[in-house]
Amino acid sequence: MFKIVGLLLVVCGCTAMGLSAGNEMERRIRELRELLKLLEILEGEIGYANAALAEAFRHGARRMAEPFSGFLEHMAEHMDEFRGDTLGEIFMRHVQEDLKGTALCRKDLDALTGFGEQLGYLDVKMQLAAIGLYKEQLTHEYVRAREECRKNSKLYRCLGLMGGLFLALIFF
Amino acid sequence: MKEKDEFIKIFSTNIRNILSKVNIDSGRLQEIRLRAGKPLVLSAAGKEYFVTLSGSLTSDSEKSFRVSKREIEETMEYVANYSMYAYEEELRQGFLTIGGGHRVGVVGKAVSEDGHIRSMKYISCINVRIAHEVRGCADAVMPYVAGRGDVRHTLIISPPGCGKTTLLRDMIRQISNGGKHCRGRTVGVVDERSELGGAYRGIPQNDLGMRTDLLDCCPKAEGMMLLIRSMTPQVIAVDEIGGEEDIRAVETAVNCGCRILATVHGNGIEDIQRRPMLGRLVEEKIFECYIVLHNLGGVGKIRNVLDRDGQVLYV
Repeated sequence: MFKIVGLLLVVCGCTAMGLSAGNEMERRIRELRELLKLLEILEGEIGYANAALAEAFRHGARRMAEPFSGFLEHMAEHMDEFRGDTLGEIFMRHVQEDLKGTALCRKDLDALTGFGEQLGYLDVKMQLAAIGLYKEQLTHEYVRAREECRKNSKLYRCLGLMGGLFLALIFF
Repeated sequence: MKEKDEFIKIFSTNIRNILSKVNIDSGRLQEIRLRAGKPLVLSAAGKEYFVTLSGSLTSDSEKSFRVSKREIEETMEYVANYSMYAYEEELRQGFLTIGGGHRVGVVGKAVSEDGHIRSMKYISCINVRIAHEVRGCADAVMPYVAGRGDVRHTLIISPPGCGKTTLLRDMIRQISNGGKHCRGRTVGVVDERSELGGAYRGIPQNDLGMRTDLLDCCPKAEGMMLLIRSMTPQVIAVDEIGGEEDIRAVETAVNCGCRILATVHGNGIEDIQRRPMLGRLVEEKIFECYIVLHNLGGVGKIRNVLDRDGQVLYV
């Protein structure tokens, strides 16, 4: 009896791992899409409203979902405090603190931090060019992630179930 | 001191620490100058002081704290709230206005294009001019500006840094609120450099009175026309007129029945008469009252008040 329950648990566990891997891929896609939305907002705020970054971040925070909303709000708060950090440092710190629970991979977070270092100093034209460049990279990453997800998410889910069944057979 | 704390936030952390130790009445503070590799200088009540690392004031430049390039950069980051791009136009003109109406003058290497300044880079000198709201400073001139129930077209003539904006601000407040000289009027203020209202996110931080409509960061000529169309002001106030377009807008506003309060740089009415466009306004006797300021014996001292014929009304 205990053996059957144990084997069922192994199958369920492995299936859950497969499902989770597939879901993570889908979550990353959603989060990359949120980042693209953030860039659209920044483009509008900087290009049309000529808003300062803290103000643009606050407006963005109201229109975005968590954890990006909190990320933007915390950055705006930090910027208003003038603690002696550069914008690059502020950006890096809040990427690490506020986006650690996301499905974004190391590469995505590094690219976001790198984008933060490009903000603030240049004229509007250059600022929009920096946003445009990052948007292009991000779109490329988003398309690739979607393609990967389409190909692999079913595979991960099947592998999870099959792996579980395989282990169950071995232990049986 | 709250006002001082709020204001020194724009300086780099190091300079902020030093300034927070300076024992000076912020009401007397006029300017703080930062130059890369040079002493930290502070002007108060017409006198210049060097500031030491411990925050004491000295006349010996050798004892002064020296400002580094990095501190200038950090200060600029705070002044522009990490968004230099948002102040492109201001940098082209050489100054930014921060919350509270304080003016931050900057110079460095100008980037030119077709003979015009396109931008400013390698900023190496910063001059922070502190704006003061002095309630009641216009009391002495109010009988001439708004006597017998009517507001007169008034021009304040003053050399730079003699308190013309402060005086204009108090005149606006008194005319807007009304008082013993006149009933309250609707005043439209075109605040091109955010110095009169010191607006933060569109809301004036200085008291401009209860019947004042503030148009912030708008070019004067365009702003005056906009106010006439949209807010029907009885009085229009503008700071530092001088350009051809400004003068034309003043003429239009006068012809529309608005009363004008304006300021201009100069030492006296003779300086104004020598300028082609402004001189014409004097010749046509558009302005009914001239208030001339000077800084002998302190900022904001009234040299005299003249009527439209140049007759002295007050010394």
